[in-house]
Amino acid sequence: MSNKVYNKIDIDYGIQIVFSTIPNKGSHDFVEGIDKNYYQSYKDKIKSKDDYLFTPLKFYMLGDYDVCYVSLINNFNFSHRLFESIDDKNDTYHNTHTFQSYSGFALNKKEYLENFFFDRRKRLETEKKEYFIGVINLKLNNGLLIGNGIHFIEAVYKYIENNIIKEVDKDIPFVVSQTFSWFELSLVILIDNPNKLTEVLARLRSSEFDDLLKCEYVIQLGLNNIFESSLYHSILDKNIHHKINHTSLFADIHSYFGFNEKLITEDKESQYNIDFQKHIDENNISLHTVVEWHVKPGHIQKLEKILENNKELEQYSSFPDKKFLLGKSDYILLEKHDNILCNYNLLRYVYRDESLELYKHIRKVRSYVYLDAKNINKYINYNDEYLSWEGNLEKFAFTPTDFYRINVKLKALKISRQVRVKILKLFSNYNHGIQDPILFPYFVDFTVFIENLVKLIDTEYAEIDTISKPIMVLEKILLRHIEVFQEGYNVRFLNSYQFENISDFDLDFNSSIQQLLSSYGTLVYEMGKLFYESDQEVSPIIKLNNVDTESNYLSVNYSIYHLTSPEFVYTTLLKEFLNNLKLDRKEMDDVLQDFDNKLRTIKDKINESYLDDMFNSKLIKMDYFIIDSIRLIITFNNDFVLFQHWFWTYNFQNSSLFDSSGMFNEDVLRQEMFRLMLIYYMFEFDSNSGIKIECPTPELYTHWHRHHFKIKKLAKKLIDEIDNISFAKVIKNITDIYLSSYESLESFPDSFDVQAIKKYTDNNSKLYNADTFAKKICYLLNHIEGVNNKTHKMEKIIFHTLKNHFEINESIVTLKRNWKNGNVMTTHNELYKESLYAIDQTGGVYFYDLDKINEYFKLNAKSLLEIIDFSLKSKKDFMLKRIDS
Amino acid sequence: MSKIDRNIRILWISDIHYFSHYNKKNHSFKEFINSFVEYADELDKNEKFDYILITGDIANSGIKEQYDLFKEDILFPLQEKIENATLLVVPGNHDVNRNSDGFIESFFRTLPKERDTFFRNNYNKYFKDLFKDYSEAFKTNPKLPSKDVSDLSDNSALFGYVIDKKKKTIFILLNSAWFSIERNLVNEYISKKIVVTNFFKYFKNLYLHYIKKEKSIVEDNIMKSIRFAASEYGRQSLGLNFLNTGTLEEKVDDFNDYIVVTIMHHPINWLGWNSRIVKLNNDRELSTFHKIRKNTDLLLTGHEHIPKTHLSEKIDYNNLLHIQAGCFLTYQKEDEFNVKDFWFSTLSINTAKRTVLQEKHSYTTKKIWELEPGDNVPIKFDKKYKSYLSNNRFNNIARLSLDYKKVVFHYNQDNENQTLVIDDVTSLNKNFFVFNKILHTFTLSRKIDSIDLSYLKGVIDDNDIEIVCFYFLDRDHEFFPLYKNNVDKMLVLGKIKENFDFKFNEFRLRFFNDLKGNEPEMYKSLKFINKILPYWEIESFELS
Repeated sequence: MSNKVYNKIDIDYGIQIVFSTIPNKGSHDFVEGIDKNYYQSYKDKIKSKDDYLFTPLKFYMLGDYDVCYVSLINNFNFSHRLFESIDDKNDTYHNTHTFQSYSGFALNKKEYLENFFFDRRKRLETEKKEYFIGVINLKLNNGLLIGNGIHFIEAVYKYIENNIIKEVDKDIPFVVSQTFSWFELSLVILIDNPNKLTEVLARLRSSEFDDLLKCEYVIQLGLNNIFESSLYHSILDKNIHHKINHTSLFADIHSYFGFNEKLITEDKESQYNIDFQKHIDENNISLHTVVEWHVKPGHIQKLEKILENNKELEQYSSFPDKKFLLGKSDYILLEKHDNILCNYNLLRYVYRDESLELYKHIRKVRSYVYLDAKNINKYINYNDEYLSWEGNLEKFAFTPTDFYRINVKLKALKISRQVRVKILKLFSNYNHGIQDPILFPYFVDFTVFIENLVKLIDTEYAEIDTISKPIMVLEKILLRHIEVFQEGYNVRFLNSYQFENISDFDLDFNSSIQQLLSSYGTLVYEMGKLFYESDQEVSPIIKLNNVDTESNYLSVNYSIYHLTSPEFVYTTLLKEFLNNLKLDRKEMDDVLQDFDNKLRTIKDKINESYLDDMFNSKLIKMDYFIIDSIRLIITFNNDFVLFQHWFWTYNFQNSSLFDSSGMFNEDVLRQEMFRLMLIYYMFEFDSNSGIKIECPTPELYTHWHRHHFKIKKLAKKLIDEIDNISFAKVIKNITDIYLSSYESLESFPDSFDVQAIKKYTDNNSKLYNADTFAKKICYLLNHIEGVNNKTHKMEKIIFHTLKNHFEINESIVTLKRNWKNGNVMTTHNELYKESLYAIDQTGGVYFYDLDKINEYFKLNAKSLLEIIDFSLKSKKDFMLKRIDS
Repeated sequence: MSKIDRNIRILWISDIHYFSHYNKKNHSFKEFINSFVEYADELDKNEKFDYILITGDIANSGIKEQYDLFKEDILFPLQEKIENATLLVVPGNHDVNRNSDGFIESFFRTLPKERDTFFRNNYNKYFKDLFKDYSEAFKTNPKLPSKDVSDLSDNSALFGYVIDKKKKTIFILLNSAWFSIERNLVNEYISKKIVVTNFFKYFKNLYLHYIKKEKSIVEDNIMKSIRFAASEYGRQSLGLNFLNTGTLEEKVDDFNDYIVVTIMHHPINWLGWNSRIVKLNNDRELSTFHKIRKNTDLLLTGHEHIPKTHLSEKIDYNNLLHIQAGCFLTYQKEDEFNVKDFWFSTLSINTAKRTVLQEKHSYTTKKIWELEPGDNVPIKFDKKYKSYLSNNRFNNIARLSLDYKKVVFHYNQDNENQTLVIDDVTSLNKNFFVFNKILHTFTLSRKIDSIDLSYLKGVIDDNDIEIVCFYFLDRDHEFFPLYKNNVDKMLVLGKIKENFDFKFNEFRLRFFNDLKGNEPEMYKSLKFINKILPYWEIESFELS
């Protein structure tokens, strides 16, 4: 398999961008503290000796945020570190400050990126005068992106590189990242004149799909079908297809402007600052801004006094012309000139020592930048064509009649006013999301959730004349919907263009991660469909919760760290949506109930107090048994060694399964050993495979030794006693539906040794259709190409990712921490050198050295891009189905 | 497959009525006997028997010749196969020696005095004589319980009790046949002697008792009295006076958490009024048998030749589970061996769960032994039991000087099912032992912190140690006296375990935290385990 997801791009690094305000109090300490304790300390921790990773370029900004950090990273978990200056020596108190951040894949070439970030702060003095930064966030046009996937993103990247940057100034240093946020691309340019930002923006704003199609590299990239594959093409009438060419490439463009840190932090007499002022004067560089002062009530005169006494500020500000904004107590001070030195001086004044006096009278100062748009017309090919397609989104939304109807039904069901209004507001919020032409892709995965909620209300209402139920029961169900919706909805709107000024307040993660949430949502939905036999669809909302992954039919919980470590998601993916099978197949409930009942009888027959204790302590869960059996067959393709590896790997990084003493909880171990051994004996790996179940790590041996002998015996006894036939029936019933999607595969190629996959089918053919199963294995092992089913392709990626990680690691190595203080014991680092990573029981993985971080990053980048691509393509079909109906 | 819980496996046969003229040349009979031994051997291989139990009526007429044949044909071959099982045996009415009938006339002459009184007064004269061949047959059997763990009274295999500390069970063996004037014997006696004799001469006491009546009536009454006095049903006596019941009561009280199994030939309904009916004596105490009965979880009896379909019963407000055995073999004429309802039982007593599973095995017309089909679900003992540690036991355990080397030997032999000899265990000092690349260490939780890590590493290196195993004794823990409170011992053990585990884990982490240089690599595969030995385990080591 190719390691590339993009056609021409290799992913080697990620980029993190943080915008932050600077607290009034201790502003210097704060900025230095972030440098030292957020970036450098991490760099030290991972022993990074290079001059580009986690070494941010820093800029002081005009606008909502005061400072911007752009850094090259190779671990997305870094993005979610606490963005505070935490220091055991410095006790400076920092008052209110806010920040927003985002991260994603760096699309530029490896060498370019390393060079871009390589010690740039030092080189600036002698090299190019990159005095300014422009950050431009680009939300691609959804109508073009959906259906095309990441190759469209690649094409736009190439377009920006060749048709925008090079056209404006081929020497402008720039980096582009594909982000996990609500916008797909983020462009960072380093410039010596704000006009270049204006120029870049003007070109971006005027870019049409046609401009892209005309580019040679679109053909070179093999993107001939980019037009036909788009959502627009599928949903719009043929007679207006020509209009698609004139649609904008971007649905939204967001930009920021700032000054290189040296201009603010260094003395005005430094060479860099002298050169800068000269550069401004000589080139007559101007910037039109309006400065808004958030003045404490009654302090305006004191502020004016301070400003008047400052020669540098005084010459630029026109105090008599002050204005205040409607509805706010803030003042606008107009500039006398559009000289950029005005902003330069103001920034210096605010962030250097003098500002302390200033903050006695103001809360905040904010500059509005006005870029000259006069020239933009020259880039736009004027025509009268206008593509109106938003009407299609209305088909997903609630009409006023729908609201009325639901309201009436909820009233008839006697649902409390409080809950009823919440439900109506839930529908209203959904409407806002799904009809937003920019953000709707992130709310598409709410559609099934909403449809099912309506069905639930309809069903309950239909029964109102025939049966009486406690209202509390239905209210609890509705409240669960509300709770899931609320959290899912908030994280999808967080930091989006509608809330650009608020801070990253979510407790689970920094930066917005709409792309990830939504892509995983699609994966769960599409994979789940392979198991459902009725029309009942289930699309649980992806939520974040690192305590456990217990999911239900409404939501699937993941730890934030798993979203960028997809191997952990893959391990449990099946479990998450198999929880919903009971909805689809009512007999599943009966079967489980039956198993539970039989288990009691079997338990009495086996007659061991140890088994009773496990039973009474609820350590035996029959639904796990069914789900594990299906996971073994489907996710792990009957490869018990692989299953076992991931079974323990996943557990060992789940901190909630440990005790505060640092030991894996004894009861949890019993439960998990029992789960594993049941599968081992059920699938007869004991008798035929030569595979043994052994203690996965020495640390576990104390409890392992205490229990494994007993559990082994009991699991075997239970399997001997259990009703194998009805169990096999259930497994077969579930897997048959899934496997039937493989039946259409061509038969094995002539060269393929069918015997080679016998080991997968020999023992367990009673549990599934052996022929079809063999085809699936054959396909996943790469012997049948040309499979068109997107979901099967995704399965292939899942299988190979899991197998790949396993083969690189071979055995499970757990991270050694000193449990007195929780610190990693670096004295043990040598133990990890053979593996790609050590499993960290506080969550996720730990790396021995930087090379391994890089290797891991690349492995996972591929996986993540595949998921995003899969989601963007699958969403088209999903939407079409709804729009057509 | 062996069990996890302590499980007592008993092979139980009863009512064999071995007869001298059983002809081993009879093919069918030979097959019956041989297949039984083979079948029992198979069962033993599947899960080892701890005991072979025989609940009476072993011989048909209680004579030596029959016992010799029984031993030769059945018992010895069986014991040869099931070599580790202890033999438990009680006599039945058929084990009364038919040739020792001299007592009958003497007894009849004492009527209407109770027969208890007669035998108490004539114990040495008649009683031993009654069971002499039975006792001779079994008292020297090498598999009888050892004297260390049992009190088998006069060493005649008639009464006694066995305390199995390993399996946490007390067996009480009672002789319900100790005065069995077996029906045939009485009839024979009456037909031979009374009819032709002078009633007055032989039954003077009775005659005088009825003297005022007419002769024919008197003679009728005498016959009725004789038959009544000699009657088996509802008249059997246990002769508990000959059992040291004082010590037994004390033991039952000390080992209050043990399962108590009482074994006798006759079911309770065959016993005399005093044994059947619960009443207090003049000191407002229960009689000895009722004390035993009150403490018994499981009563095992034979005698009634019940069919396989008969179910066990719970009596005494469900406190006592009564299981009866079927008939293993009945008297048949020479050369006419026919399969009837012949069966035996295997019992599995789970002492942790306090349950018993009876499985019935019968000889089928296909001439094979088969497990009777059915649910085969264990029955729970409902009798409440006390769980506190008695003062006697507490003091004994606290006093007990343990041979740690022996503990290592036995603990590993038990749990790992290895066959090793004690000399394979190497003593490094009084607390450190090496066996099979495992370092076995005995320590106190408060002293674990002071273990010298350099010394430990040295021992590990010198002996190629792969696993370090710590042993903690609950008796060394400050919570040990809590066992004396009337709470579930497992709750106390749980608290102790929690504390030992914590201390052990602290030590384990200290060991790894302390590693330097290449040591993490050297010890990366080293494993630590800890074992907590509760007092009931220590008690069983004491026996070894």
